Amino acid sequence: MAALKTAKYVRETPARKPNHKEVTTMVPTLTSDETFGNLGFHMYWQTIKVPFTMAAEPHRHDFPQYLTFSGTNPDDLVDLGGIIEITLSEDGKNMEKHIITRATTVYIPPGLFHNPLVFKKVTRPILMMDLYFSDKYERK
Amino acid sequence: MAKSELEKYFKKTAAPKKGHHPEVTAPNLMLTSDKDFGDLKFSIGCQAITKPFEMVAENHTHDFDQFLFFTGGDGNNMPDLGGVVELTLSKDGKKLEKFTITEATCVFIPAGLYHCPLNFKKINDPKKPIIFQNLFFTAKYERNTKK
Repeated sequence: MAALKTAKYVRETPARKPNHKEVTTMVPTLTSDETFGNLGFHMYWQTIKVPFTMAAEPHRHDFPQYLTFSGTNPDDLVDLGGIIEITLSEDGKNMEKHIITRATTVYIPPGLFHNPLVFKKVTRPILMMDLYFSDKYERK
Repeated sequence: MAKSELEKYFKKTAAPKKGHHPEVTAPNLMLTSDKDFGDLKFSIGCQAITKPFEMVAENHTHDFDQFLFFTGGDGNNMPDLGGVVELTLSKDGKKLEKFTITEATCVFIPAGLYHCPLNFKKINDPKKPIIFQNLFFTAKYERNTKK
């Protein structure tokens, strides 16, 4: 990238190693820290190509989080290309399992128990985006 | 999906209406955090770009912060952009600086920073489109154009 005055606003997306052995490709990330907007959020994207349980343990956070699941069919991103199960609970006892079959966003407010998160069926890679509003990711 | 009080935390992601660009043929995805969905007053739009075109011609600013993400549509290698994007930025709206993007890239556009034209110059393979995401922190998207 040429040395331009506005170059600080353009950042090749850092990619990290995946946290799950079933995810085999590098994971692009964005951190809005004091050098990049300072809006206190993180995002990352990963493609899911095989069925597996991504997170087994129900937990909650002190910060809001959005999970989006979409397809990778270039003609129809709404076509999820698989089946996902995610469990939510307001009290950590009454566990409610939801089944996702189309492109969907899940809003997880602070304190809402969530997971297990299970990719039950994958016929085409599923694109998962995780957006959370916190400087640091901590589970409870 | 089972009937549950917690269904309020789920939202189908398909955008309710067609986008502004006929060159984008696949349905857009949209997330809006309004009072029914977190009330964090941001939106994310997601589009698959399968052919070259100039998406936005006019240099403009906003009163809100915005992030643009360009990633590859190959699920096996998202950091590989799969094309070439040109984006112009400017602090004063006069000295225009054109950036050429060839790898997965984020662009932070703070309130008041001039930006565009935005030009998708090359798409290597329409089956592996560039995934373009637009995250903006406002309840209502409005542009300020040059007078």
